[in-house]
Amino acid sequence: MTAGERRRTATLRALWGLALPIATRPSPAPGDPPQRPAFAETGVTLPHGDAPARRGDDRLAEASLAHLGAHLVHGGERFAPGSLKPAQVALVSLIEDARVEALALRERPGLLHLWRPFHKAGPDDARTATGLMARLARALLDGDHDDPDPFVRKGVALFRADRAAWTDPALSRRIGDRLGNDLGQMRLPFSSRSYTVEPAYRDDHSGLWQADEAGVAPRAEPAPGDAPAQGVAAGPAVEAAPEPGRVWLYPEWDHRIGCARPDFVTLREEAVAAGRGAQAPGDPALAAALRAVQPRRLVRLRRRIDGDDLDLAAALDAAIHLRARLAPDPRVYVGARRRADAAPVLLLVDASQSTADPVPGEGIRVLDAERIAAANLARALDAAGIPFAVRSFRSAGRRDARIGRIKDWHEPPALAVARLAGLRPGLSTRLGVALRHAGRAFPAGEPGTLLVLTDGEPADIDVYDPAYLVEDARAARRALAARGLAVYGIGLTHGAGASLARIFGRGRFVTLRDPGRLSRHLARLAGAA
Amino acid sequence: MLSDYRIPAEPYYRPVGDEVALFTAACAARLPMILKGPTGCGKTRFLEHMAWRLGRPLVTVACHEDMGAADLVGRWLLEPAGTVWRDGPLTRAVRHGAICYLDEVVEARQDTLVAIHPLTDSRRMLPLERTGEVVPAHPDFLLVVSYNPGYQALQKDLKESTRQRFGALAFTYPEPSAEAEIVAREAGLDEVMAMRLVRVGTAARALVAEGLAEGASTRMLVHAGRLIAGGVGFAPACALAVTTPLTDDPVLLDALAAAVAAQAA
Repeated sequence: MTAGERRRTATLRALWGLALPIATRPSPAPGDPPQRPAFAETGVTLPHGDAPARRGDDRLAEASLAHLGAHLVHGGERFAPGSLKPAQVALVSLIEDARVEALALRERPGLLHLWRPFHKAGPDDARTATGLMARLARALLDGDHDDPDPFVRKGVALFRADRAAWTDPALSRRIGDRLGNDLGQMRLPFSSRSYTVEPAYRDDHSGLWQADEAGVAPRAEPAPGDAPAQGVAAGPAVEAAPEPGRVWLYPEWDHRIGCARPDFVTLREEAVAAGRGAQAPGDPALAAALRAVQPRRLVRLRRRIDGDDLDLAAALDAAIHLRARLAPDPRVYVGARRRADAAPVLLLVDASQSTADPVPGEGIRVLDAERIAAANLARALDAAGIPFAVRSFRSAGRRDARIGRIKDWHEPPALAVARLAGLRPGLSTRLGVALRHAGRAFPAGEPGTLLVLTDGEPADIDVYDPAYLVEDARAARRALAARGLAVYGIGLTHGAGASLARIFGRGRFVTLRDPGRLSRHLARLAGAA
Repeated sequence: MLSDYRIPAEPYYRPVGDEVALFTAACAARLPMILKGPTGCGKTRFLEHMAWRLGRPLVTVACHEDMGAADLVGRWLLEPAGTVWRDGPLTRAVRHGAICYLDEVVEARQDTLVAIHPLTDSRRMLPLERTGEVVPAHPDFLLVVSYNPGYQALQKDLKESTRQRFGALAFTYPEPSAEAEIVAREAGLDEVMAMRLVRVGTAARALVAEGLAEGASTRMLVHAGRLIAGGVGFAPACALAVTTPLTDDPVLLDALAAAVAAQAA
């Protein structure tokens, strides 16, 4: 979403509190019939082209959003066209436009300045049906504008006669009927085909009328926001057999029996080949956020000018000085400060098959989002001078859990980015054993931070109880926490918040869809450190 | 002893529900209270009002990360004659009977907050570990803490063992008509102008869904209202007191500017 599109969405929300998808259509080519915005219960469409970056260049869209919002908030049921003539349909719609705008101006008087510049029709315009309608639209909106035409004056008089009735959509129907009759008696021809609503910020009226027999043909539009799902890249379904080598056996927590099954899971380490990947945009704020999640130690600071307790040695010295009539040193307190160390960080990246799915609502795969996040983290850790390692994990049942050694502590950070690019999605997510094995990579007894990047739910081919692996991962996390490791989850999803909360604990995980905003989310974890 | 902490005149507070009656009942039952709600929605003002209404001194402690137990309970000071114990704000309130208000309590470290545990259960006493004294709570002592669940939802939280000792009142921004009344009264504006400010506030609160960290507080609207009452134009006053402080995101600033423009006559 560009900044301009975000601004349009936020503007609709700020003006009307509405959260509707906004579809953008390119502005029509010169010579093509002009397009007008449209609204429906499911979303709005703006045919004004791509959103410019500056608000000042997007006044038409802002005016349209203000107008469409007025319809959506103040409008009633869709009108039934019944036996109305096309000119009557157009005039009912026009009065309805004026009615919702008048109601909008009651609470938002400043919108007048937004809409008025688009009304240009005046007494000099031709006395055609569409010309009169544009003039009537202007006179209805702008009380200071006086149009001498008797038809316009009659419309304005009818509309202003009873301001209390403005809240009733039936008013539009009544006045529109009468004015449509007048237009017919004036023998002014009107064709709904060649008619374009004026001014340009107003909608094409398709949202005002019931479908089918409506005089204004409602357009069959795909609901905005219903973009077709991104093609899911098919990962290799069958994986090569694991390479022989050292295996580790790990216990697994079974929450149904309330104890751990010893030596239950077999784990191997696998090498990951480097690949070529696009450079992700960096995230300069990430280094500061990472420093903030670093574990902090309580350090006692002696001989402080203030603090929680008297420093006994210093207090005695000071008392002796006082007795000796010397000036005592006022620094007689001990204080406690929490100090961050450059504790090592291990990134654990989920490489299971489900990471080949797109991030909900975003155009990229979970694995790619993980790659971007991990690459950004790697760069930031390097910049912050924090030692780090990267591992990936996947599994195919309890006898075949695998950890990919993407970067060891001593290897250069550039290697991590290249090997992350070489990661292919496949197999399942057995998080608990991966956590246990990752915990081994830290020097014993030293603090450290483990960041887990995942798409959420642990699952494996031999597990049918959805809570089983969640509980096992929770038990593994708690064991790591007990030995002084801080474990945080970064979920690139929005659905799995509950299981992430269960595994990592409240306040120790974030879910995000856009890896570029990781620093902001990470900063929220900082307080839990 | 605590006369400086007494509130001499009635602080203006407009009740939005039955919070005054509920708080009075909780106070009579000596139930410690949590006031939770977004920034600037009237938690502190409510408590000042209640302290005045109940005729009790109000000792306020703004909590922060470096606050230790000694900052609440008290500490030894070195004086020419030797060491002297000085009560902290909490101990003073416990000893002499006051409402002790820990503002933004989750900012304090959790090990600090454990000090309040003996006060918040049936014991109602404060053991002073450093002096060996046990201070029984004065019958008028009441502990009240506040925090903002929105902006620290993930970051900081109260320990369960702390949280479950309290009763709680949830505050939110008042209804538009009530908020307009408050803004009009606090800023010295007419209700129509106050209502326009409240609508700007409503728009800003809607933008939380678009990424704004927190909506405009009633306090901000009052600030804008005071500027308007002092002769500043509507749009510049809103920009200075509401939109510009709220966010640095240019997109949200644009949307806020549109909402302000919609209210500027």
